[in-house]
Amino acid sequence: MPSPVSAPPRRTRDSSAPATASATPWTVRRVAGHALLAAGRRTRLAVSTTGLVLHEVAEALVPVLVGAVIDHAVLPRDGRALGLLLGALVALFVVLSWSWRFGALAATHVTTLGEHDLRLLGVRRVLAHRGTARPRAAGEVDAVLTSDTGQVAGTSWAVGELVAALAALAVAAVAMIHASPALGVGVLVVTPALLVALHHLSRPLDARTGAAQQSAARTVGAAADMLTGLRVLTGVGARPAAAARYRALSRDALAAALHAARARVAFTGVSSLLSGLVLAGVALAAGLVALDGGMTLGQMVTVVGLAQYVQRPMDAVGWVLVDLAARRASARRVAALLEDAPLHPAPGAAAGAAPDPSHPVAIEVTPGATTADGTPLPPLRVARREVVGVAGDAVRTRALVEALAGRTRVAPGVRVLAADVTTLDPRTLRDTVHAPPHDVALVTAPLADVLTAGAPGTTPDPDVLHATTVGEVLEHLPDGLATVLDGAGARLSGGQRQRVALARAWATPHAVLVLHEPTTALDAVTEQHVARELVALHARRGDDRAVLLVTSSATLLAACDRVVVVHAHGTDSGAHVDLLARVPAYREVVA
Amino acid sequence: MSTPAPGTVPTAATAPPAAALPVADPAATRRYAWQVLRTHRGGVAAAAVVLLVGAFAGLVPVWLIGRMVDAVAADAAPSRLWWSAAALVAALVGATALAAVARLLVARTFEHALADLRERTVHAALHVPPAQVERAGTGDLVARVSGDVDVLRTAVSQVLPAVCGAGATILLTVGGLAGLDWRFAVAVLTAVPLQVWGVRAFGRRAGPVFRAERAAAADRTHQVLEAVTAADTIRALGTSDAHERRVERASLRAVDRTVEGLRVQLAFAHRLHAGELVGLGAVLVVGYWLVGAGAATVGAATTAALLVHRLFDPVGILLSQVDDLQRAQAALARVVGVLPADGPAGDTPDAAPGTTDARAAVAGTTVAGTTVAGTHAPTTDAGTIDVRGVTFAYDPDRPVLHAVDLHVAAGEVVALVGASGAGKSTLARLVTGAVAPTAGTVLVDGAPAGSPRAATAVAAVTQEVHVFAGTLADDLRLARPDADDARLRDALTLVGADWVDDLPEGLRTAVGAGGLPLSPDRAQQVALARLALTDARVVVLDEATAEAGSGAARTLDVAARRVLAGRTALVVVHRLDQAARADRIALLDAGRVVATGTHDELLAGCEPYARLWSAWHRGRAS
Repeated sequence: MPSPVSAPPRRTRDSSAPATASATPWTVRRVAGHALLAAGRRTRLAVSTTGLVLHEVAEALVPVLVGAVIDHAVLPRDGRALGLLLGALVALFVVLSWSWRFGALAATHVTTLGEHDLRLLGVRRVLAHRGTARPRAAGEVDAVLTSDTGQVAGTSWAVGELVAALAALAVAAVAMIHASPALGVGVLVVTPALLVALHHLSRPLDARTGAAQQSAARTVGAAADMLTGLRVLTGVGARPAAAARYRALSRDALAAALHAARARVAFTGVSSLLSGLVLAGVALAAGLVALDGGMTLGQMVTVVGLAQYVQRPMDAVGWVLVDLAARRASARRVAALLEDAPLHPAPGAAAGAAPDPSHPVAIEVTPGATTADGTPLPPLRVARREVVGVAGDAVRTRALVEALAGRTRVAPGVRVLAADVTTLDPRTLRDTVHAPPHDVALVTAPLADVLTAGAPGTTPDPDVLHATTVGEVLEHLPDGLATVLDGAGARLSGGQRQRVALARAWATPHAVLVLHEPTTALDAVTEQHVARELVALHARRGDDRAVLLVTSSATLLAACDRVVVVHAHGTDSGAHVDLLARVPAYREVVA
Repeated sequence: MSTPAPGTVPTAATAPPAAALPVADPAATRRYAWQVLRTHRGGVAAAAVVLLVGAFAGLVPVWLIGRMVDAVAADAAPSRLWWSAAALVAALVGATALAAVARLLVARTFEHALADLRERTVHAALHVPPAQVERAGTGDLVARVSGDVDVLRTAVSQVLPAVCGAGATILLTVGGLAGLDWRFAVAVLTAVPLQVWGVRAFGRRAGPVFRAERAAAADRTHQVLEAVTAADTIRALGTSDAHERRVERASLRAVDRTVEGLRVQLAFAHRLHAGELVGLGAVLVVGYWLVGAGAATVGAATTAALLVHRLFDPVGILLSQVDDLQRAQAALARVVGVLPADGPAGDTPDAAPGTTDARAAVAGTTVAGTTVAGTHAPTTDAGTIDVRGVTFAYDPDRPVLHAVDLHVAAGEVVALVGASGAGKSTLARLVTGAVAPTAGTVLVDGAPAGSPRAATAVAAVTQEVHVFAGTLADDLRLARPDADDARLRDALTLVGADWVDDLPEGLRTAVGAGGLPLSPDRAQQVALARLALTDARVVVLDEATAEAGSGAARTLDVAARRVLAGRTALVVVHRLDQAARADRIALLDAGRVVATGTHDELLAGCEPYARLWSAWHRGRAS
């Protein structure tokens, strides 16, 4: 097998670049704009709005036709005119129905694909290589990516309805002006004034709706958190307490929801009342004008019908504004998630360095090197091909692992293949150093895919499987390598999962492998076997790879070429047995 | 209950929804909904009355307009118009006020019902039998208490009020038409066959489509949650792209299901529009005929036409909400599926079933479990573990434990030792009652493991630690809600967690997800502190101190020993020095108890144990 390090570094697709790579911050407007307009949705949005407008205009024309029937068919008792006008009614309904069809289809495409796009942006942000400075709770992220994205994307419907309502109002106004100019102008003046007033009234509703949604999101987050820790809760008989706590949160959410409902009902009530009053006024005015002979009875019917009809688009404007308030709150949350400060700053001028694949020193931590928040890192030097153990002070050794993994920021002084980590893009660092977190995470996928996740395109290596005793684990599984890991497919014990994770890590082609306490769940016999076999495999294969084992297990440390122990007075380096004899502090830290 | 649980990352890698928890059938869902309505019948009845009255008041303006048209046709005095207008305004104000009251009543009723449902759901989800959680995974549960409850929330706050209003208006409009002239009512009812056809076709197709939509949405939630919780590992492996693609695929599948749902809805819409056309056309024709025959005034014909036109809106509202209602019904079925079979009436989420009773029971117990006062008078089996002839197999042809016998006396600490896969964790789970034996009996504190009595006497801590989101004090109080700060501090001191004072806000510091992350050894100390706060007589520790590095492991060992003092314990160990300090050791191999005894006894008389000990001991200072 060719040395993995000479293979070209795996280039991942640039889609992992976080959304904040560009200078434009994610604001409410940008989030909404992206959901509605990006990726060709602009056209679909136009189509949907057109469809919705046509539909609404057709609806507005129905009272006009009814008035015409009264004037030209019922009053003069003209049967032929009735037939013609009924034909026109049929045509109008065809337009009405089909414009709804293509409008709704287009709007749904915009909504669902816009939501999909935002969701992917969110996932990309969460998985971005530059990480997040303050990671959010999984449940909270889930709530934002699941329901808030949908709310934002649904703005397309709201926009369509709004434009359609405004268009219908325009048609109604024209028809009314035709019947009576004074009345038409009156409507044109009163309606916008009404809309402005409603807009102002919707603002306080914004705050209450936001609070209710936040309260609801908290219940969702709490439920997810509790259920994730269900086994722990069961273990200490804490399930009733958890349920009680959830109940308190739920009652809070209920209070907030009722608070918002009251505001919503008040707003809707005022909105309907105002539009109803307009109807009354129009009916009265039209009646007076008709009595004066200024318009025909049919025209009066049209005007009154339109005034009645007009309530709907005005109401629509009212509830769309309410709706938009809720959607604004969602967009704010999505924008906040996308704008979460990354852990690693954008590559500056100093970046662009690349690790030197031929450099003999794999890892070098210079004396005095620290993490960005001041935790001192143990100075050490690991050459290519070496298997070095690191034991001792838990805080510093953990910081070392996290620093090499790119999960903590460091000050200059840590070099990987001659390149200082601060000059490396996190992705480049992770292409060179494989340092998985200690907590094992296995994905829902066939075991074969899980084992080769870090080395795509390969098949599980039998040597590695034997060395890590995963082969034995496979024998106990019904479908072997094809077994899908999930609660049902494979009840793997903690030790089995650790071995699978170890096999996965060992199979990666990186130049440097850093493992953090990889065998805590293994018993002594298995651990001995694993340590012995893996080191032998490493030597046999002529691996150029440097392996750093950060652990307190004596079994593993004994198998290393040498060990670096980190204690209060500094570091000591040497073979395991040598250190046992020489360094008293070593005996303390080794289990 | 302990489990052979995975590493400390909670298994977001869970079963895809299909394999999972039951979904209630339509009958059960209807039963539940009916019970909810019955529970809140006061509010529902009041809302219905107010709604009807409001809708009636809303019809009056239309009738008054008809009168105004008649007045114009008859060339009456303008004062008649003014009076009609004034009456119209009054009716309008009344209608709006009544509608507002109705909406508020509906909101109150259904928000309460929703809060009730989500509390019952979470309560039920928390009490799902552990074996079922093993099979189905927590992802589906999380989807139900979050996504599905959210759908119901939308239904309650937006859909139900709209549907109720629309329904009332439709009923009364048809009544109003009949009041004008029975022939108008007949005319508008010609629309009904088309509408009924539409509704039935929709009903047939909508159910499965919306269920598929909800399932696709749940799968998408699962993928997103998996990506979010395993983010660090995904980044380390460089598989971010692959994960994004997985989420993308699941998301696109959900999109497809949504569009399918829309097409079903559109077919419905076309039929309803046809119905409206037929209804309006018929009323116009009848109006023409009646006015021509002198049987009705123009005003009446106008009113009739306006009323029919008014019908478009509520029917349209119903249309746009019916699919939301279907979606809500599908979500409700998934949520009700989590609830216990005896339904909402049988569940009392505010009573804490086990805890208070258990505390009362152990109130009189002395540490050594000798004599006990209290309602449940335990026998001399108090605080003991009795495993007899237990065989256990996950799959029928792969037994994990064979005829295991083990007896742990009160106050004794027994260490379970053996190679990986020997069955130690399984035995531990049998003792906690997480799983039931295939054969044989397991008695804890004299009661069968898994029974309520045994469950209150047993506590377990495993390798899987979870620090709950919230303050540290809240986290600890989960184990003992009535503990005051002093008690919490005592527990933390007992386990050596002096770092509490170094935290930014001490006990009030927010920890867990979204708060300050705690290192694994600190998290284990918190877990042990929780254990210290319980009254459990029997403790099962499954590799609970294996997690940290060695220095921390020592602290945790001391902490564990202090917490176990005075309790009976079954400890699954890997580090043989822990085993050596236990009162007794039980060595398991391939599902059988090979030997039991003290460390010295086994070193001398048991070859497998001696081998294990030497492998462990090699390369360590004695």
